[in-house]
Amino acid sequence: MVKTEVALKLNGKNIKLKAPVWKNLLDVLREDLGLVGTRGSQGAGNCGLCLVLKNGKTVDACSIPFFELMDTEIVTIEGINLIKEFPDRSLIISEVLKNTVSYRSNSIIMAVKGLFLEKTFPGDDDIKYALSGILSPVDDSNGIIQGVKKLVNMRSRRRR
Amino acid sequence: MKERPAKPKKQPVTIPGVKSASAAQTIFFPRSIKELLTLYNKNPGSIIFAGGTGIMMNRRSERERGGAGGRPVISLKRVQDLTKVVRRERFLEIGAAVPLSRLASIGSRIVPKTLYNAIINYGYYGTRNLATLGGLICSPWDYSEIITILYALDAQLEIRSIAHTGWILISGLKKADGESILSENEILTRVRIPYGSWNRSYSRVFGMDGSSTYPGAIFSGFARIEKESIEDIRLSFGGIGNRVIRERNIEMTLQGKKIPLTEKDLSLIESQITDLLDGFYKPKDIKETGVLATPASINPVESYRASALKRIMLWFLNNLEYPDYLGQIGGLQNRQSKLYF
Amino acid sequence: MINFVSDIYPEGTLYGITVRSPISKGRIVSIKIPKLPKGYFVVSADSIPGSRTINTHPKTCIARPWLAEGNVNYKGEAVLLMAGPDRNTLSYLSMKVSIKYKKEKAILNTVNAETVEEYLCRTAIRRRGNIDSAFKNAYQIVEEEYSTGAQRQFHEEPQAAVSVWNGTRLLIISNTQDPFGVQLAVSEMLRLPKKKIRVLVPPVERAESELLKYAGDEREAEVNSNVETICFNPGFNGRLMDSVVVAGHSALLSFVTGKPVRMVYSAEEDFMYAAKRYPVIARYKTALDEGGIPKAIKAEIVMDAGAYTDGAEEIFERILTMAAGSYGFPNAEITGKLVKTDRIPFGVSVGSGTPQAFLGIELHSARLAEISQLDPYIWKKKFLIENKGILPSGARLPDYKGAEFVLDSVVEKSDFRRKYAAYETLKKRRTALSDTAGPLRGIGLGLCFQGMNNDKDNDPRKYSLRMKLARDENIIVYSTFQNLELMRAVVLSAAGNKLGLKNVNVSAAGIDTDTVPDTGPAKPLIESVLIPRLVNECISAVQKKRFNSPLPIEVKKVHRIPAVLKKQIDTKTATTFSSVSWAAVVTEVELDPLSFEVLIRGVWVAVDGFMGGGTDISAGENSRCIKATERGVRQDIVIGLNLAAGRGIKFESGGIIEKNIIQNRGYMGILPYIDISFVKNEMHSEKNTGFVRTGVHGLSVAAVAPAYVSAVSQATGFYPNHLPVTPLTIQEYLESS
Repeated sequence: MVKTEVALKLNGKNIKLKAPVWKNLLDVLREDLGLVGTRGSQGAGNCGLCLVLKNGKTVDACSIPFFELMDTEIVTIEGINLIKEFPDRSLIISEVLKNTVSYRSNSIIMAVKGLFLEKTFPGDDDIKYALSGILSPVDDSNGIIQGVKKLVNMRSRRRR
Repeated sequence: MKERPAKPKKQPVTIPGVKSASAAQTIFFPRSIKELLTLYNKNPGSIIFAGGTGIMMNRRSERERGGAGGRPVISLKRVQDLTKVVRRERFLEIGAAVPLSRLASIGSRIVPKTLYNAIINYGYYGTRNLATLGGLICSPWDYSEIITILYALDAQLEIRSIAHTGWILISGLKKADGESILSENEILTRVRIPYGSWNRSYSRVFGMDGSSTYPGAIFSGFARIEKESIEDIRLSFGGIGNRVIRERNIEMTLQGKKIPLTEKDLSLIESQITDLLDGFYKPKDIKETGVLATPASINPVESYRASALKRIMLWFLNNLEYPDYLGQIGGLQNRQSKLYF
Repeated sequence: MINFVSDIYPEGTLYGITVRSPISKGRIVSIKIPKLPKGYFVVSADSIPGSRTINTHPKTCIARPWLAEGNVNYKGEAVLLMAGPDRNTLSYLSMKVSIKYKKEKAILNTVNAETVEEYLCRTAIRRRGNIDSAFKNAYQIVEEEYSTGAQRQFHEEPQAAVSVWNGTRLLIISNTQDPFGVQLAVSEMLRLPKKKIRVLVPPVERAESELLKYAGDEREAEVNSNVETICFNPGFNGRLMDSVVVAGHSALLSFVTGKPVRMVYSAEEDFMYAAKRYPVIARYKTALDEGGIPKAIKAEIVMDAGAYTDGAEEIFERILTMAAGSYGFPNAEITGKLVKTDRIPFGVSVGSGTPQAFLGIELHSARLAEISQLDPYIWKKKFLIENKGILPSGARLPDYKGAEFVLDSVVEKSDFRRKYAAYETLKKRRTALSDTAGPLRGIGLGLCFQGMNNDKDNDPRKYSLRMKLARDENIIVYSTFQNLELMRAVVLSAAGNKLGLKNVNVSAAGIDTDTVPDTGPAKPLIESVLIPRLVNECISAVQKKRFNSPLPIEVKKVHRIPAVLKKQIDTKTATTFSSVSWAAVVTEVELDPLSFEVLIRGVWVAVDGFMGGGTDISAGENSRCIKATERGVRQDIVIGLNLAAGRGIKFESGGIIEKNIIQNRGYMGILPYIDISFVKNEMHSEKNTGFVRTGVHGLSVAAVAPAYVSAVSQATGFYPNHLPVTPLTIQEYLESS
């Protein structure tokens, strides 16, 4: 199998990695690096389970082949608190997920974090934009949306 | 996404073959369109890599078998020129490697409203940040609302190779069998979306599930009504046999007609559209129409799509006189449902 | 961070994969295995040292083999297992394995299986009254058939297991609902004593250090001491037999290779081969008198178990008991057939047979109501079971009054009667669907009950709960219960109320066969009854000890069969269900006349199962428990709508097509406005049923589907008799009429 080496910044650390060219980031994280908080399910770009931050944007880890990682900055759920900006992981867990962990929660956390990195005070449409397609039918979607709204309020209070 | 090679920047990431020379795989990261075109010219048939949402899905089995066959890869991530969005007086010009999320953040004042709605409902957060407009257009699956709308709006594509540059209509990009007309060193660089003065626009995704990456079927209609007559009209149908269908003849029939359309007009259109859609189903017609029937084409799902498309189109034509009404009905349901999955 | 099974990659692990049969039925003629590189293994049934069939259901008609030998009985049946260090190489090698089969004629649908004797596994008949004379004197006979197809279980993490055999003990980490079932089955397969097998179920906070220990490594793995959260939702669905199979396969591979083996199904594999809800065909024939009063019913239930019947018998019994619904037909004959087909073995799903049983009878009753020109609410109320709650099938429901309470509540809240009448008028006025003078709307009502099986057989497994109040005043619970959300809510509210501890940190120790007692498979229904009961008992015990013993305090409570039930069992007067909970659901829909997509305008649910966290919990804290329970009801509604309107599982030439996974992601429509009310049923009492509280989880599924279908039926004017009802089926009907 054709392997290549790339240099990237992963969770705040500069690292060099060697892996097959077409191996996707999801498998690299889980199998080569032991960062198992990013999960996957079916094929590429279908289920919204494998969100990570690439250069500050929420993306699917399953759609990124290894060679595209060259000179990128990746943050996974394990390193999410290295980004100091509001909100931190535990705040999202308590306010948005109401302290309930499921297979999908890490992905929801990444989506919420990505949203707050993109918009300082996301509005209702922004929240829906970020969460649509990421929640599963069994998630408490209304509760999650309310939770994100609460975070927006908290942030605006802090700013004041 | 469909683009082509450039000159390697000083050091391309070159992977020496592990077992044999043929297994070697070169990956280029050009920095400008010129570099890109030169590279592609030298390495015709390279894989052009933009967002990855389509290609990674396609490559999955290949990766699992342990390698991608050694075709060179040209990544577009460093080509800044391909990520520009420019607003001109009569059209919006979008670089081929602009991710959908960029268009969403530009907003519905600049991006035509119908198209904007289709974009924010495409896939989900992570996909929209990766998927590029050019990638969507060049992908073998013409299966999204965005493409259907671009067909209706007569979007133009800039195709470049090292030797020449030219513009084509989006409908001319693919042959009847769905294959791209681009030759091995040509690449899509820009997309132009004309601002038409449409005063009726309607787009509707419907079918058996709410996921817009795999919609059931899609109808997009645009019209300009002046003094109770149809000045211009565009109708396009998506989701059938993986292709977008637009028939100029039908639109011509409608042009200049007074609204409301008469029963006679409507039944004429209905029979025309029936012929058109049926053409996609009957294998015997392949030779006559030059249209390839997909293997799935004779199943009930496809026939559901076809007759629902017909109903929705007729409804659109019937309601041209009520612009507000067009804005309300349909579509809404699908949009809301996207929140779950 | 809390790990799921599929998140565990032990050092030096091998990946395990399954080589499956590509044909539905036949004999294995030869198996040719390519030369394997060093470190790669193939395992067949011959490598199994002990029992070659899975013995979790000893009474089953057709037991399932661990690996096929001689014959294969469904497309996708496991024939060989392979393990190796590299996944890609492994899947390449698996393609090189050549197995030759001699094909035999397969039976691939339920109806065909009915007529073939060797496919008929079990029959049953229940009679009441004089059915023949009732039919002879009937003024009108109504005959209908309904069927529910297979349905996918909704779990996001696919079936997965990690096994480590270190020469003396076997560690299995599995996302099963039935850890002790896994232990038992594997011990028989490998001929190991049970105590040598340890099964861990997530949350496996300590999995890492356990793995190191098994590898003989004394290093302490890094344990995240800051446990932020314990509420862990593993997803109840479909973790019974399939998880036993996966765990057993990984254990076998580990046993043979001496290395850790990680076996995780891909989502596609899970979609194609994991158990789906049992398909059921229900045929009804009802005799009406001149006034439209139902005098007798003949119900015939045909249930399809798939290739193997493990677990099907229990569900079959339950469906038969509920086959005539909640109505008091004076004369009844209920016949049942349990058949097998050469398809994947089907399995237990949320509701344990309730949805299949109620769908048909509820739709049939709606039809009867229409024939007698009554609104469904009046019809239901009029013909509800009386007679001290004895069902036509002979079972007695001790708390049968709940039906009336939930019906009244839901009908009032949803304004059902007015809407029903209005939509009925619209329907009658309409000549064609295209005649869209008014919106195409409909409303439907469904009623169902779900019972806790009475412990007639004196199940030796006893539910128990251990609780520890730690030195830092945090609470740790030990049990096999998996509904930790409810657990947490109840513990928090009880601790706040009785111990005065606010914002206490509650954590649950992992489920571990070494430390928790065998309490049988985790079942949502039973858990929602027993968790509040046991937690409250534990907290009371802690409360008593708190002021005379130092922290930590540890207490354990075992669930005992309530005195009233024990007495019934002793005197042989026990009923089939010790207690039942009722649900009534109203669904209102609007049909898009262009695309025939269905927009759900609202769902109203009334359940009588929930009485708060128990009598000892203050009203304020109770809201937390209610929220947890409401979430469960909401999930049930989604599952029910999925059953009614989602895409069904399609079998093509005996198998499920891989690419259909994309369209089969559960109900995609708008999660509608949902109103949930809990109704008090005085008949649930210690004195009457032994429990103050009855189970709610999995209950509403069975009422949502018929309510939805009757609503669609009213909106369109056609009577669907097969689920799911999609725009496609609506169009097919309309075009044919």
